[in-house]
Formats: sequence, structure tokens, C-alpha cells
Amino acid sequence: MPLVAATGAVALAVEDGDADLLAEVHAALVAEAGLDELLGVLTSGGHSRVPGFACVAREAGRVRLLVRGAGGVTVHGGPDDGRDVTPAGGLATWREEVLDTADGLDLRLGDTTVLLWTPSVTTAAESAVEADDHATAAPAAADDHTTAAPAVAPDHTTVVGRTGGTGPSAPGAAPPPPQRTDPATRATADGQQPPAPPATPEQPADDATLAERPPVPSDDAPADRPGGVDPDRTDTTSADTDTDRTHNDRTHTEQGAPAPVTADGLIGGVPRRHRPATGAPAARPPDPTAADVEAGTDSSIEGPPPPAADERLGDHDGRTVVEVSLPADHTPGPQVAAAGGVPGLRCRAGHANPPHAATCRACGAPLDDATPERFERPTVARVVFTDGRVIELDRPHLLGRSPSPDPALGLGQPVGLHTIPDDDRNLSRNHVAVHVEGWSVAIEDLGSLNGTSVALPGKEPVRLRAGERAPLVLGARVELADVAAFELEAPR
Amino acid sequence: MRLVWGSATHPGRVRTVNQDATLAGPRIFAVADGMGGHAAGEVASALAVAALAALEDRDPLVRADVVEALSTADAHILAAAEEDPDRAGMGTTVAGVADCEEGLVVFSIGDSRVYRVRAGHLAQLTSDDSVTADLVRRGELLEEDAATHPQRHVLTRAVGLGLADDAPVATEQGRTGDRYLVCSDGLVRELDDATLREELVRGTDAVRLAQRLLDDAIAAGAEDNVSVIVVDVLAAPADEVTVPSSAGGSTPNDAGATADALDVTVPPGRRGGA
Repeated sequence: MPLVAATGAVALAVEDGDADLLAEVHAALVAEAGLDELLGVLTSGGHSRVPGFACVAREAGRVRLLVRGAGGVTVHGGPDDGRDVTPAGGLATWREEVLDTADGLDLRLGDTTVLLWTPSVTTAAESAVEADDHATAAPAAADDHTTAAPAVAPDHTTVVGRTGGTGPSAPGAAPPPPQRTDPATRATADGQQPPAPPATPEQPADDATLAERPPVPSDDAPADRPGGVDPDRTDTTSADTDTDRTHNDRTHTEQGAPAPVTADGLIGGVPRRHRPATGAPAARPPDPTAADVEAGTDSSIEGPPPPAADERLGDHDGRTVVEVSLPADHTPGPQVAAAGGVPGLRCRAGHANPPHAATCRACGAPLDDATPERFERPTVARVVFTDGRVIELDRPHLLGRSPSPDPALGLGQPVGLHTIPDDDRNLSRNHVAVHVEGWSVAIEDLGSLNGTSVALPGKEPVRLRAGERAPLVLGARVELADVAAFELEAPR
Repeated sequence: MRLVWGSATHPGRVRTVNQDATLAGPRIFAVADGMGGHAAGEVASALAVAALAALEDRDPLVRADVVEALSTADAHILAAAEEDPDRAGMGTTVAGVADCEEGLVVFSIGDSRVYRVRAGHLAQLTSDDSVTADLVRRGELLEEDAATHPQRHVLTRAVGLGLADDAPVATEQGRTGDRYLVCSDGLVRELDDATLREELVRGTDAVRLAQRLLDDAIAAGAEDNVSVIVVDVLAAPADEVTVPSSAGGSTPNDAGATADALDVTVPPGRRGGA
């Protein structure tokens, strides 16, 4: 059966296919993967084996949507109201669009609308109603499963092949609750779980969660780390494979009360400490708590720099400061460690890993008992060129003959620049962008003259169209206009 | 001028975030070591490097362009800091070499450095803008005590604080076989001059050498971010042909008296021109 799931930030529907792949996609979603990382998982089997999907996400205040194969999205509200986004015929990859605004998005697989998703905040009341409907609709099947695999089910926002046309997801209105039409096997796998409402009210649930549980690591670490040992990996295969799972991390999410269900049923599967704080950094307590340990470069943790007047200038790799007096109006903000960072797991040797990794990518150590934490800007991979040049990929990079960041590229700051020697000028100045988003890496051809090709591990190279973006997984090989080639390797 | 280069940057073993940014070629080679919390340091260093990168398509590239870019970087960082109070006070060092019409333009603000190896001799072409460096220059502090001085991390100058005007730049004529090293202080903190010289003289190609210097620094502890750019001059125009007429009899090599320390300031009239 198809995988249909959503968090507050991402919703996706993937058509039925490779159960392991669906499980991985699901695990990544649960681990709060961004759209690019999900794409990386979806395409990890090679471009030809990517199932049809519809994926929508809120990113930087806008709505990004991707469709492939049988996947489609109907947009409600905003300038694109009523528009159907479907992949063009013969599209080898997928279609991507970015909308400035949308009130509702219906995800379709074939003719079936499988999920109604609201990218903006809905009220808690609406969500509660939804959840209630779900709770009653959910069959009380699979009690054995409830005890056997509590960790997996909550994440399945589970939805449901709701047949029928597009739902009237008018702005602000709660979409009609989907009805469960899952086959019995599906019900067995997930039925004990109050399925989550399709409209995803991230804010209310998330904020409530944050309020209840300040982001202090260690005390509740296991519950925050659903993916560390990949308990979700097999959850879409069969109940049998789930029975030996002993992770009860999220048992608490299974209570049936409507409102809590809304919070947990939908987002409960998502590691809450991992959610990026939505408030301004200034709203955080001004003391560097344990959660901010990763911001070790902050001067508030370091010893104060010697001259008092310099303290205000922040740090230079933690300690160096400039000896000047600032104008009076040049007051720095409060010394609060930013709540950014990427959730992940640190192995015993100290390597940073994605939250859904089972073993350390750098040293292979098991991550079963690793404590989740935030990494300020982890090196997610290394770009290793055939001539020996290496980029430690801890930020987006522009690669080319003479790269220069253009604000229009939307890469933000900081961007790394990597010049590839090319006397013959076959490379474009800004040839490709290597995007780093969370733990995922994607490559975008910036309209280069002589092109870019990408070969995922064990696959034939595929040439990118100008402006096309493809996720990269470790082992992927990229060729830039026959001038340079690199492979994406695990960090050291 | 035909150049070949290698570059490497790493957060080091203690820092979790790399606040350094590098620009490696094809004509400008620079290291920026950012400072400021809240992800500000890396923004400052990236902005500085971006301002220099914007020069890459300038033809001809002249020394005044480099000076102007440092001012531009200063302004960009100040503006970015004003937009976001969390970033107030962010700044960055910048040091590097640019292949300009006039020759190789060497520049530095802060305590990142440019070295040159010529005929087996290592020369530091830049002077640190730091309190301890000032004290050493004035004879008030012994060189060997600088590394442990309580104010060793205090800069007297940085880009992004309105302090980049009159940036010290020097022009020198690169010669075939010259090797330049641009690095952040994270490298020289881990490797002493003797080690540095040994590696630079012995090292083979620039790509591997840059990586090896970085690896050495990490092996030595690398408590700071480390950035390394190694630039080799494969062919310098001055060595290739005699410049017709204009050189007026003197060979180009003679004309290129090198600056052993950066004490050259650009005349005000040259600034802000291009």
C-alpha cells in the first residue's frame, strides 16, 4: 500500500512499491528530514526505481512541491487556487514548483486524493476534531501490535486511500476527515494507532510540546530518537517483522484522548527536541543550557576575552576579539546561543551522524545508544575530486571556474566557494550549486554551458538539465563538463 | 601568470563550526577567519570572500580593485550586522594574494597570513594586526612569549568593523617556482615556522601539500579552524619574455623588488576608483 505521512513541515504520498524503500522514506520523515533528504532516500535506488510520489513542504515561508509518476497535488488558496500540479509525461525525474502561498494542498496518487495538508497553521480545535474523527474511525485491531511495535505506528500519519475527488480544502476550513479504506493488513500494522489528521497543524502541537518539554537533552533522550536504530525501517512491510521490536519509546503517543492525539498522533512520531525552535533566538533563556552545548564557539561559553570592552564583539574562533570601541548604537544582541543546528547522533568517537543512521558513517560504530543532540553545522559529506581536492561539505557550495555567490541563487549565507581549475573555460563560472540542507545533499546545475551528469551508486550517469536539482547520496559521482569529477564520500 | 593551487579548510578538532572561508582562484586566493557568535563569524568571512570573488571576472584586475573589494566587504558586513542585532560586531580577518596587472598583490587585515617560499627561503609577507604583534614590534614583548600572552587573541584590526580602509597591500613580482601560502592562524598555531618551512620546501604539488598541512594541523590538535591555500607559480610572465620598450632596459625581475613586510599603504587617490 502506499505510504502517506506528514509532519508539520512536510507531507508526502508515495505509491506502493519497494517496502524497504518506503520504510526508509518513512524513517527519514520521522527523523524530520527535509524535502531534499527525503528525495535522497526516494532516489537512493536509482532514478529508474523511484516510485511515483507527491511531496509538499514548507520551506523558508514558501511552499515547495514535488510530483512524480502517479503523484499529484491540487493547490487551494493563493494565486494558484484550484490548480492541479501533475508531472509532465515522460519526465525522467520529477516536477518541482515553489509557491509563495497556499492554504491547502491535496496530495493525490493516481485518481485518489490521499492526504489533505495545510501548510499554514490551523487551529488546535480543528485539529482536535480531525483527530477525534480519526480515533473513532480507526479500528481497534492489532492489539498485539500495539505492544509489539509501538514505536513505529505513531509516525504513520497513516492515511488512507480516501477515494473521491479533491477535497474542498478552502482557506481556513478544516478539510473533511479521510476515511480509512486501508486493507486489513494495513489496519493491522497501524490500526492501533489513532491516525493523524491530514491537515497538519504544526505550530499548535509543536509549541505545546516545547512548552511542556524544554529542550533539555539526556533525560528523555530515547524518546527523542526514533530513528537511531531504525525501528521504523520495516514498519511498512508486515506486522510480523515488527513484533520483535522492543522500542517503546513512544508509547505515550498512543493515548486516545482527542486533543493530545492531535499533538502526538501527527507529530508525536517526530522527535520533538529536534524540531527547530520557531521562536526568535532572543526568546530563549539567555543561559547556555545543555541543549546549546554544540554552540561551543559562543563566547558565552568560552572564558571572557581579556579586555572588557572587547567582550561585546563576540568571538573570533571563540576567543579572539578586536580591540576597538564600537559606536554606542552598535549594541549587540543578547548573548543567547542560537537554537539552530541540525539534530543528529554523535558516535562514541565524536562523529556527527544523521538521526536515522544505525551506524556511524565515519567509523562504523553502532549508534544504538548514541544521545541525540544538535550539530551547529556538521560536515555532512566530503566532496572528493579525482585530482585530490576535497571540500568538507558543511555548508552549501558553489563550484565552477570562478564561482561568485549571486543572491539570486538563493543559497543564503554562508556559501562556500570552490574554484575548479579550467584553463579551457569549459566550465561555467558558477557551474553547479551543492546544496546542504540538514543532512541531505543535492546538486543543482546552474544552467551550465557544458552540463553536469550524476551517477548514483551502481547506476548509469544521468545528465542534469539546466536548473535541475538532484539529490546526492554517499557514493554518488558527479561529472562537470568532462573537466572535473567528484564523488560524495562520508565525512572523516 | 600560470598558477596551480590547492586549498583545504576544516573546523579543527575542538570547534564544531568552521568560521573560516576560503577563495581559491583562479586569480584571487584568500582566507577569511570570521569572528562573532550566533553563526555571525562564518557569515562575515563568507561575505568578505564573496566581495573578493566578485572581482574574478574583472579585466584587467588591478591592485585598486582589491583595495576596493576590502572596503566593500567591510561595508557589506557592517550592513548585514545592522540587519540582525545578533550579528552586531561580527568581523573577519582577510589575507591573500591576487594576480593583478601590477603583479601579485598581497593583502592582510587581521591575523591571517601570507607566506612565500622562494629559493628555499620562507618569508612571512604579512604582519599580524594583533595586540601581541604590536607589542613584539615595539620591543615590549618577546616573540616567544606572544603565544601565551593573555591578549594573544585580540586583534587590532578586522574587516567588518569599519576598519578596512587603508588596507595594507603590497605588490610583488612573482617568479616561476615561487610558492605562496595563505592561511588562517589556526595553521600557524599548530605548526611552528621550522615545520612550516620544511613542509613548504619539501612538499610536492600544491593540492596535496595543502591537504597535508591541514592534516598536520589537525594531528597537532587543531584547536581552531584551519584554512590553507597553497599557490604555486608555474610560469611568471616576468620570466617568460622581455617586456618590450616600456621596461626601459631593466629586466622585469629587477623591477619587482619584493616587499618583505607589508608597510605599503595605497595612496588615497587610488582608492574607490574602479
